[in-house]
Amino acid sequence: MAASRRRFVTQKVVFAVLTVFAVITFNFFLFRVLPGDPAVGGLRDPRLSPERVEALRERFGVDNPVFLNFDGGNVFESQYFAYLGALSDGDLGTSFAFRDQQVTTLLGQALINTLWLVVPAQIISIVLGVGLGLIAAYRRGTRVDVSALTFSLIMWSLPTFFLGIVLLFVGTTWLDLPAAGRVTIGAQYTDLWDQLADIVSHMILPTATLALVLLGEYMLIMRSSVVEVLGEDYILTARAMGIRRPKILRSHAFRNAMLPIVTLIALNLGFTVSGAIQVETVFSWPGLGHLTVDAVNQRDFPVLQGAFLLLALSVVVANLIVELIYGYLDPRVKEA
Amino acid sequence: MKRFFRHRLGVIGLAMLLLTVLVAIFAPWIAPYDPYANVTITIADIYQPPSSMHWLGTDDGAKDVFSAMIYGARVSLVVGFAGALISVLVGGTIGIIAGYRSGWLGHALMRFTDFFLVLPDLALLIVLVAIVGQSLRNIILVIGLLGWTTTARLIRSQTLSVRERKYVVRAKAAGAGDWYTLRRHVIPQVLPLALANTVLVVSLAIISESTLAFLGLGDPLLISWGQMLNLGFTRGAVGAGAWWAMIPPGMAIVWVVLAVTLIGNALEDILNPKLGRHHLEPEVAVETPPPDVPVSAEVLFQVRDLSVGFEMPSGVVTAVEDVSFEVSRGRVLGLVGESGGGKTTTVLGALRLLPPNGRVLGGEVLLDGRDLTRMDDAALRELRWNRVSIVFQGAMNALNPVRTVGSQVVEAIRTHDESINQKTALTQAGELLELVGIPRRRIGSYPHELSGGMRQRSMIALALACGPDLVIADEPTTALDVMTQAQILDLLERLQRELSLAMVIVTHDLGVVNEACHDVAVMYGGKIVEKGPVARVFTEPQHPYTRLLLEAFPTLDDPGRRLASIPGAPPLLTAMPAGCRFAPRCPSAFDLCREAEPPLYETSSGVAACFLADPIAVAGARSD
Amino acid sequence: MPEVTDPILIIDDLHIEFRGKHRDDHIRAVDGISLSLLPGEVLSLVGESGCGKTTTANAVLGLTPLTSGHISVGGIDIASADRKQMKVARSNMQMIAQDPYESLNPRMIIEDIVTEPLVVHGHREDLRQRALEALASAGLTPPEEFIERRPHELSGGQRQRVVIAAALSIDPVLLIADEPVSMLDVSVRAGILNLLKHLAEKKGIGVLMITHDLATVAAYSDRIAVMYLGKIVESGPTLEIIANPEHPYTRALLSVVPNHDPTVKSEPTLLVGETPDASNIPSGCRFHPRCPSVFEPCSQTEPELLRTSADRTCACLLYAEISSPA
Repeated sequence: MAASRRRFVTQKVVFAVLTVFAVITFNFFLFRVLPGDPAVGGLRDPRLSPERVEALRERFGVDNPVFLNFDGGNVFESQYFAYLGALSDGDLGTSFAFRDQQVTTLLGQALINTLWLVVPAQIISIVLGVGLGLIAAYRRGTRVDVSALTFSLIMWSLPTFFLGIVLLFVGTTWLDLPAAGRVTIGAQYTDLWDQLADIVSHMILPTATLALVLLGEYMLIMRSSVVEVLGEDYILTARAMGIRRPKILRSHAFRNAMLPIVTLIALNLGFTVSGAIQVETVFSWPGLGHLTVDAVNQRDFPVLQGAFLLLALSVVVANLIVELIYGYLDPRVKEA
Repeated sequence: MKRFFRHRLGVIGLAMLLLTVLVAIFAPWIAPYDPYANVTITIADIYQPPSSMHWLGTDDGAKDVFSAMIYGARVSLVVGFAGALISVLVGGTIGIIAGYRSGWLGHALMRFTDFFLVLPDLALLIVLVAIVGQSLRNIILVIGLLGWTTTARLIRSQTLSVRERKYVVRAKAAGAGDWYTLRRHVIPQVLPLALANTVLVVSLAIISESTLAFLGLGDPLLISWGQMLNLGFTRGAVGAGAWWAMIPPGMAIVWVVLAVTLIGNALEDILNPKLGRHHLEPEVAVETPPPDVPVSAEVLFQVRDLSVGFEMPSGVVTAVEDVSFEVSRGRVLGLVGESGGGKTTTVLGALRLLPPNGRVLGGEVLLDGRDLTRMDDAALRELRWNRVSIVFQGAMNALNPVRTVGSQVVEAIRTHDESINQKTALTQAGELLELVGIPRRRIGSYPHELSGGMRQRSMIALALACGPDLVIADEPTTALDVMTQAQILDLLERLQRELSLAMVIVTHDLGVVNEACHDVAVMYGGKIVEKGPVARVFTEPQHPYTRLLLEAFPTLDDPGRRLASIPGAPPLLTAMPAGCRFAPRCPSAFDLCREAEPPLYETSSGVAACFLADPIAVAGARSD
Repeated sequence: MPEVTDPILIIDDLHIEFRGKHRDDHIRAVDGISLSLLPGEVLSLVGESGCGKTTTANAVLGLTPLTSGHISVGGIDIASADRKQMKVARSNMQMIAQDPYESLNPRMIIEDIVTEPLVVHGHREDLRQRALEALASAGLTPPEEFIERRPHELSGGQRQRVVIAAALSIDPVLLIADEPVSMLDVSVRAGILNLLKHLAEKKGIGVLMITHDLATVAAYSDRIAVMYLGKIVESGPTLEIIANPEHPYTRALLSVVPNHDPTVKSEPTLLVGETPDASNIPSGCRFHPRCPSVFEPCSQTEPELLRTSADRTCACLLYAEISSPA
C-alpha cells in the first residue's frame, strides 16, 4: 500500500509543478501576445524614469525575439527566457504606478492582507456549511431543508460585490462599523490589543460577506453529497444492525460525504479568489484583489502580471494540498 | 417539455425571465426618461430620493434611476445570452471531442481544460478585458471564451459514459462509424444535459458582466446594472445614503440570475431526477389494529398475513399480500420467486427496513412471540443483530467502502454491548472472520481490496457478530462465480448446523433451496402460491407455477432436456389481474381461475394456492 | 468458392495481453487458444470470471486488439483486414450482450434499433419490411405491435429478442452471444435459448455462446470449450463432456451445478480458494494449486492441449500418455 501511496503523491506533485510551469508560461504570453502588447508597449509609459526604462529593456531583453532566438548565438536569448530568469531571481519587475516600487514588495504585503480575510472566512464557511448541509440533507424536504436551499439559491444569485454593498449600507448606517480600509487612518494606538481591535472591526464586514457567499456554496455541495451517501446500501446495512440514527450520520454518512466535499472545495478555490477580489474592492481592503483591480484601472501592467501570477499559483498550490488530503482520506485511491 | 410546466419553480423562473426580456425590448416605451440623453445638472437634482417624478430617484448625474434600470436590462441580457452561447458552443465541442476520442487528442484536450479550470476566472477576465479593451464586443468575447470550462467538463463526462453503454458498443461492433455514433447515440443523450447547463452558464455570464462593470471594466458607453453600481460606488452614493441608486440595480441582477437559475434547476431536476429518498428517513408507524390470534412460542419466527405496500404518487400500491410462513430453531426456509415476486420486499418489510415510502399494511411478524411491526424504535433496535440479522448481497456497497472490514464488525459488536472494549472486540472480530474462512490478517482490509467471495464472507461474519438466533440471507450467492457460490453455500450450511441457527434464504435459484433448505415457500405476484417441505414440494409440486419453475431449471441428470419456459411476463404491481395472479400464464387455467383468487389448500406436500387442489372446483370446471 | 462445411469462425493460437497498472505488469488475458465454429453449430465457451472468454469474444468482434494469433470470420482475417474488409466482416457477425436493459438506446423506437445494422452498412430500402421480418424471426409476434414501441415498454426477455432481431436483420453468419440469458428470469431463459438454437439449426447461423452457466447451456450447445485463466482446458461435444468430464476443473464445475431434485444427493467438489488474478498465473499447470488430482509434475510442466479422442481435447498431465497432439 505504501508504495502506491508514494506513487500517488509523486504523481500529484509532479503534475502540480508542471501546471505551475504552464501558468508561468501562459502568464508571460498573455501579456506579450495579445493586441496592445502591454509589456513592451508599457515601456513607453510616461510614468517611468528613463533610467528605469533602460534597465528594464536590458533586464527583459526587449529587443530580442519573444520565444526562441534563431538569429545565431544562444537560442535561449529571448524575452521568454529572460522572463524566466528574472522570475527565478524573484524579480517581478517594477510598478509603473507606484513610483518604482518593486512588484514583489507590493504583492507580499497585499497577500498577507488578503490572507487576513480569506482564512477566517473559509474556516467559518466550511464549518457552518458542512454542518448546515448535513442537517439539511438529513431533514430533507422539511422546512429546515427548504430554508437552507432557499438561502443557497439566493446567495448564488447575489453577486458578491452587491452583497458587500448591502452589508456596507447596513453596517455603516446601523452598526457603526468602519466603511473602508484595514485600519483607521491616522489612529493612535495605546497597545497591540488596541491595534488588533481596530483591524478586527474593519475585518468584520468584508469577512462576513465572503463567508456568507462561500457558506451558500459549501452548504449546497455538502447537502447533495450527504443525500447521495444516505441512499447507499451500507446505510441500510447500518440501520439493519440497529445502530442509532445519529451515530449512522456521524460515523457513516458524514465520513463518506466529506470525501467529495474535499474535491469540490478544490474546484471552488477560483471562486474564493473572485470573491476576495470583489470584497476587497467594496471595502477598500488593501489585499491582493484590491491591488489587481487598482493595477487594472491604472494600466499598471507589471503589477497586474505579477498579481495574476500569484493568484493563479496560489490556486495551484491550494489544489495540490487538497488533492493530497483527499488521497490520504480515501483508501480507494490508487495512482490514476 | 410538458413536464417542465409542472415544475412550479421553473415556471416562475421562466415568467421572471420573460418579463425581463420584454422590459428590455420595449425599454424605449416603458422608460419615462431616456437615460442616454444629456441633462442639465443642478446640484439639487443629484441623488434625489424617490418621488413621483422619479420613481427610483436620481443618480449622481441627475439621471432617472428607474429608466436607467430598464435600459440596463438590455446589456445584461445581451451579454448573458451571447456570451453563454459562445461558451457552450466551444465547451460542448471540446467536451464531445475529449470524451469521444480516447487517444492523445482526448487527453490533451482534457489537460487543456483542467489547466483553464485552475486559473482563477475573475482574475483572468479582468486581465483580458484590460488588455483587449472595454468594448461590448470584447466583453462578450472574453466572457464567452472563458466560460467554456465547466461545460466542457460536464459534456466530456457525459460523452464518456454514453460511449461505454452497451448499445453504443453494439453499434460499433455492427460497423457503425464515428459520425453515425455521434449523431445517433452520443449527441441525443448529451443534448438535454447541455441544455440545462447552458442555462446555468447564462447566469454565470450575467454575473460576470455585472462584476466586470462594477469593477470599472464595463463598456463605458453603455448603461448596465453593474455600471450603475460602479458609478454609485465610486461617486459617493454610500456616503450620501443614496440607497436608491445602488440597491435597485443590484436587485435587478439578482432578479434575472434567480430567474435563470430557477429554470436551470427545474431542467436539471427533470433530466436527472434524483431517485427516491434515503435510508435514514423516519418511518411511518403501522396504523392497523392488532389481531388477537394466539401465539406459539416454540416457533421462533412467524410471519402472519403480512401485507406490504409502497406509496406512489398515484396512491398506495400493494407489493406483498397476506404472506404467512414460519421458521423454527434449527430449520432453514427457502423463499423462492423471480424478480418482482416480492420476496425481498417481504423480508425487508418484516424487519421494518423498507425505504421511506414503504408501508406495512397489515399482519404481524412475531419473533419469539413479540410483534416486530408494532414495536417502538428503541425496542426494535435492541433486537436488531442481537436476535435477527440479515446478510445482504455482498455487492460493492453493502459494506462501507472507506472503512475496514474489521472496523465494521467491531462496530456491530460494540453497538449492542458497550461494555466490550476496542481490543476485545477486535479479537472477536478476528475470530469471526476466521470462522467464515477469511484469514485473520485481512481484518484491516477495505472492501475494494477483497474479491467478491471474500466480501460475501465478510457480510456473513458481520451478520453473526452478535450471535443472532435468526439469520436472513437475501440472494447470498447471486452474482458470484459458480465455484464461489458453492463455497458460500457450503459455508452457510455449515454455520447453520454448528450454530443451530434458524435461517431464511431468499433466492431465485431452486438448486440453492434444494441444497440448503428444509422448507420452501414459493412466491408469485406478491403472494405465496405453494409451501411445504422441500423434499415433497420439489418431487410433487402442486402449483403449476412451481411445476413450470422446476422444469425451467436445468439439471445435469438429463442434460439434453430442453428447458421449459413460461410465456408472458409477471404481472405489474399496478395492473394485477383479477382472479388467480398466475392464470394469464398458466397452462391449466380454467374459468374459475380468472374470476376468483384461490385460497391456500392443504395438499399432500403442504399447501398450494390453486383451484386444481380443490376437487369441487375441478369437478365444476370439468362439467362446464 | 468456400465449401459449405468451411468453418465460419477460426481462432488460431490467439494471445491477448494487457498492460497492467505498473509498467511491468502483463496481464495475459488470453494465452493461446484455438477453436473453430461450423455453420449451424452452437459452441459454448464456458468459464468463470477472469478466464478470458469475454475478452475472446470482444476480439472476434473487433473491439479488442489481439497481441498475436489469427481470427478469421467468414474467411476474413480480422487482425489484418483493411477498412473495407472489416466492414464486410462486421456485417457477417453480430453481437448479443448480457444486459438487455443497457443494450437498447432508450430514445430510439424499436424499428430504428432493429434496422440499425442495415443503416450502418448503407442499406436504405424496405427498412420497415425487413424490421418486421426480423422481429417475427425473433419471436416477437405480431411484429406490428412492437415496431413503434420504445425499450422501456418491454420486458427483459422481449428486449433481448429485440437485440436478436437487430442482429438478424443483416443476415449474419455468426452470432456472438455473451451471457445472453444470465440477467433474465429463469422462466424466460429457455425461450431465448430455444430461439438461438432454432436460428442455428434452421438458418445455419453459427453461434458462439459465452457463459459461466454449464447446466443451462447443456441442452443448447453442440460443443463446449472450458476455459481457465486464459487457456482452453477441455473441449468436445457437450453431452459427452457432461457424461464423462476429463479435466479435474470441468469435473469440479459439473459437481457444483445446483440440482433441484431432492432425491439426488449431490457431492460437490469444492475447490479451495478462488481463481487467481490473471497477472499472477501459477507455474506449470495453471490449475495445479487448486486441483484435487494434483501430482508432482503438475507444478513444473504446463500441459498441452492434447486430443484424447476423435473429437475431444484436454489439457491435463493425467492424460498425457493416452492422448495425441491436438
